[in-house]
Amino acid sequence: MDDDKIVDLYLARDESAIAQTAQKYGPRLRQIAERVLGDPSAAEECENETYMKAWELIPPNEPRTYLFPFLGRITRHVAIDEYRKCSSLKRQGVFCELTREMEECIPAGCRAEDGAEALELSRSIDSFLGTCTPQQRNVFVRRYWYFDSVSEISGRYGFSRSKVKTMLFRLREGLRSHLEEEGYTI
Amino acid sequence: MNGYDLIDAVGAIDEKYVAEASAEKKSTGRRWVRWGALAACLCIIVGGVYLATRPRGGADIPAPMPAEAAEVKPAPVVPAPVSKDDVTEQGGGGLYIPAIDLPENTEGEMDMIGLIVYRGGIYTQSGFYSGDEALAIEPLVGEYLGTCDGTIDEWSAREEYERDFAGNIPGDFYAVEGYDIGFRICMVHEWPDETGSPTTVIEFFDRLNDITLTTGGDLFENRLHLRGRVEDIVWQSHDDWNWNRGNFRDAGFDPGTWDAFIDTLDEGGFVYTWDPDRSSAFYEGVPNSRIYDTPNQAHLTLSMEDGTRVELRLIEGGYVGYGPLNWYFVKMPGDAFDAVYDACGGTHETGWAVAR
Repeated sequence: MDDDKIVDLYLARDESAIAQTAQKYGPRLRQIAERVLGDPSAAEECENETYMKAWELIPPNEPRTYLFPFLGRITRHVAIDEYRKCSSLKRQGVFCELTREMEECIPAGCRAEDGAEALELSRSIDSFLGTCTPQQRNVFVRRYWYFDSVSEISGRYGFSRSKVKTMLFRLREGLRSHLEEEGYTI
Repeated sequence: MNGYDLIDAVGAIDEKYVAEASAEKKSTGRRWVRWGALAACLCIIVGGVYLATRPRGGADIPAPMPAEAAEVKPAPVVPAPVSKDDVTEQGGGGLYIPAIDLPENTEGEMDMIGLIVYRGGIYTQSGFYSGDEALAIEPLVGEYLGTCDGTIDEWSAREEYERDFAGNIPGDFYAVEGYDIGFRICMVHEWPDETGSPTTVIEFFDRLNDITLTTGGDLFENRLHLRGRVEDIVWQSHDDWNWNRGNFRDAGFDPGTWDAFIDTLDEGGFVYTWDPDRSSAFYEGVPNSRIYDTPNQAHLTLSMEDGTRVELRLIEGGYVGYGPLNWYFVKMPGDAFDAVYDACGGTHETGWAVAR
């Protein structure tokens, strides 16, 4: 079923919207959650919570042209929240590696306790991505939105692993400079 | 702010970027064209002809010749080195690479490197791109500079090399965006591929003679602009390279190792490694001969962000060569070189002493 019709079901408060969403996007949403949490049953709980939140958020939102990014954002947020709460998950696996990579992007002098408005930070990252080539942008998004491994990105775009690692390194440096220019320092 | 905050914030980026990245992307694979291997009009000089002989010191790197220069300076005649004592390593004034010396006459057969004469300098073929690779770098083809008449051949007299736009490959040539025209120009052709269909071919020509190189940075930064622009590095063993087997492998070192290599490379001095005393020693079964004879080499292909390629040859002992420069190498000190050399299949067979 295409996204337009699925969103119509949500708007009509037809509960088959959930089943249709799960059928179309369930595996991808679970995959995102599992990459954060490293546990299939925890990932399934995140998936279910995503459907509940989607039910609450549609309406007023009508993500007809961006349903998967909309759902994926919810899943990411739920999974990352769970990850932060559960100390036993920390220092494990892919997500731990990703957060360490992201820490390279934090400008020097930025205190850990400074609360950055999340939306403002997202907008800054958006404007940084707007300066990148499509190729660079896709690699960044696959790594830090979809949580793909370097090998997966390499296979997806036909790049060597070293090329992917180098691109990510340069992108993180670029994001750090961009955040500094936007004032994310003391 | 911490890593979690950033990763969380990435979640709320513009949906169009998320959707863009979710589109399947076909892998195009890699096709490697070893420079000089395919062009019908590109040959290796044989017979009594040689390029870039005795080094001299002291001259600055010339800026591109002014457009109004009407007279083309004739290439100076440079005598061959007579002993290894004539070879001097880089000093404070840099290493002068003489202009290409061409013979007064040719009695035997002679093949020629593709070359173009432009603004008083001789540019020789340095890169060859065809098909998809050529299309990828087509945006780099810049301003039209002139048309080469392609009339030079192995029987041409010296005076014929003194005309601007002389050369042995006919066609229009252009600037290359991002590169100084005093260093690099290009030609674009449509040639038939193996099926007979027309395919785009782009050839680069670099001027690497009648110049002085003081540090590696003079070549690798000021001309080739490596720093921060290398997107991918693959390597071949010397044996695979020698037998043109392909078998390219990913370089596994991290970006910090590469940056350290580039930093040290840029600061290294040039050395001239031709040694006439060793010119035939290899063929008499004597090891410790010419620098190119050692098996302890690694071959790197750098894919640049503009779609071009740079091929480097690393020889045990800290020597980094750029193909068209023949016997001129940058000599680098140990650790930064060794980290890359060892990660790229460099060997350490004993019994081979490289040039000083």
